[in-house]
Amino acid sequence: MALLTQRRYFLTLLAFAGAALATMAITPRFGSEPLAMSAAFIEWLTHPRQEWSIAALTLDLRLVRLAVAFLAGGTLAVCGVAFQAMLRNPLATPYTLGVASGGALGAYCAFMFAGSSLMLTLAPDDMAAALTQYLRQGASLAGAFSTMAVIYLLARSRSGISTMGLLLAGVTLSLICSAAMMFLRYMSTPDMLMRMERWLMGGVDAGSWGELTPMLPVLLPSMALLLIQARRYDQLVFGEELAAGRGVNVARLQKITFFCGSMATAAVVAVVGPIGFIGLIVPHALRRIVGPEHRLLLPCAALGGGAFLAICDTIARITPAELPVGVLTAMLGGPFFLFLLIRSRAQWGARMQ
Amino acid sequence: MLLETDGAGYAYQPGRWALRGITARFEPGTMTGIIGPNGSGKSTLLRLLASIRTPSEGAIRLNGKRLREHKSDALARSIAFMPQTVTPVCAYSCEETVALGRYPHLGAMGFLTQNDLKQIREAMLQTDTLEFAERPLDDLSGGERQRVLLASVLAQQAEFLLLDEPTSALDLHHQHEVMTLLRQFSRNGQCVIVVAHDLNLAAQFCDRLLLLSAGRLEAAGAAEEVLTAERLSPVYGGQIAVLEHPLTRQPLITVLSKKTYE
Ligand SMILES: Nc1ncnc2c1ncn2[C@@H]1O[C@H](COP(=O)(O)OP(=O)(O)OP(=O)(O)O)[C@@H](O)[C@H]1O
Ligand SMILES: [Mg+2]
Repeated sequence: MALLTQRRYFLTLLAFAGAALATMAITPRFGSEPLAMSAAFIEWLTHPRQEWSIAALTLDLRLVRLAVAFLAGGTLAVCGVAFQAMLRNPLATPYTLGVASGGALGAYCAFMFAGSSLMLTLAPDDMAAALTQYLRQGASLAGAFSTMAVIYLLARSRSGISTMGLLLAGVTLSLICSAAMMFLRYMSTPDMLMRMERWLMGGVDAGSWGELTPMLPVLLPSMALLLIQARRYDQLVFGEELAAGRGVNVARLQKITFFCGSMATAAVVAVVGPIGFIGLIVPHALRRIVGPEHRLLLPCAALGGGAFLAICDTIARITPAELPVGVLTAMLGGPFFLFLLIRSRAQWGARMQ
Repeated sequence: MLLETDGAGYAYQPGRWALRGITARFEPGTMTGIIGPNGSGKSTLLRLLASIRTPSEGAIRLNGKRLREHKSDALARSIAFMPQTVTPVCAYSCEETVALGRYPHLGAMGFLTQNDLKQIREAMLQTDTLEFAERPLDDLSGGERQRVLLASVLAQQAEFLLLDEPTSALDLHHQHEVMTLLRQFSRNGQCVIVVAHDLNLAAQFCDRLLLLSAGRLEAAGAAEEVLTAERLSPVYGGQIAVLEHPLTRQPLITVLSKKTYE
């Protein structure tokens, strides 16, 4: 790719912002029931909640879904880019360092507790639902944060964090969490088991804005902190020593990336479950479109990842079976990755001749 | 501008010294070669000078102030460092790689000015890498890649150039080109510090050599003083002969294997 000029930078960002806005405008139209968008939107905007018609209520639900999908997709893509840069490994994903497994283990514990707790079964339905949701999100966050702490303690070295240590600790902790989850599954009733399986597939079908808001205080500052590191990542991918020689505080950059990336991922997983492949597909596809430089790649990942997951969710929701979006991203992700692999193999072949 | 070490030492693990008691001065307008066998601490010394690591004992000062008291971006504008090994990253083109060397000079958004573009072009011209500009870095041969990385370090436009074996992968011609270029920089007022394994090359181009052995400064001075058979043989092991080059009168170092002197 030619050198990044101011013109290309702003034009690309503009194009991505435009595409993201278009996605936001179009996707709420689609769903199991047709919707008169403009009327519903005006009503949604101007009337208080109690007076909404069915159309406005439907729109509200779809907008919640859109917001959740957009935030989750954007966050996962940005964390993917950041982790790939920090670990200097193109196959890294936001889940590589074990947060998702920790989050899943936490959520599983919550499902077990909720399923067996007398208080929750006796409480009125809507209250029980809200309690279960907070319990699940809280437990997922707690699980993710404790894994994060353990991994950090294991990978800490005299001069910051060792990336090899991070990888090893992350993979090991993931395995341990999986083992614990297997145990919990064995101990659960079929009803709990079904909920666990469903959660693991990931889905952005949040019921209300309330599911989203507790995450924002974690998510937004972490994302902002990751985005402003952009130019340092370009230095870091060439090696810690080269980056340090250019004035980058490598240890600090690694800590910011690990903690912000993990916390943002944890927040996303707590709301939507471990939706796979976004953090891998989006960064790779975008590198081909906008080039490798992170000051363009990161914001494009935020916009593009968000739009991508929102579109995936729309497709998933209009399928007859109403698939969970995680199933769809996994089904798209595998073949896409294969395509990348075949294409780069073709390039190798051309280079050798 | 003056870069000096004052009894500097470094231990990667507590108690195991990779480098000890190094006192030396590096002035603008000079070219210093750091030589010594594998593991003698050459890269470690360069890391300390480049502020990649903080000395475990002693001090390193730039203009009388300890390195870590300088702001890191200001330091990167004064001292450029080329590590011995760099991760090859396929996504970046050569031109982009060289442009990354401008990092300490750019504003918050990192846009390149006309002057930056000029410096990038100049650095690529000097290292004979302009023809690779658009190609991915990973596509190049080892030596070509090393020249591109050298270009990115030169684009940093620092007064002190710290280069860890910048010619290790280069062919005979480019070795000389690069060393000639570095010498020219030193004549124009920059300070060049280069780690070299090729003693003849170091002798030919450097004003001064520092010989390291097991983390200690064994000898420092002009090539003729440092490169003597009595000094080199125990440090490197084996039988080393120092001859006089018949044309240039400079020291010419060869290793005598058993077979040679039988
Ligand atoms: N990151 C590290 N961790 C621990 N020990 C190290 C590290 N880097 C170097 N060392 C040790 O410090 C000593 C000096 O190493 P250094 O890399 O400075 O040698 P060198 O002179 O550059 O060698 P070479 O010619 O092989 O490049 C060696 O004994 C080495 O084993
Ligand atoms: Mg070395």
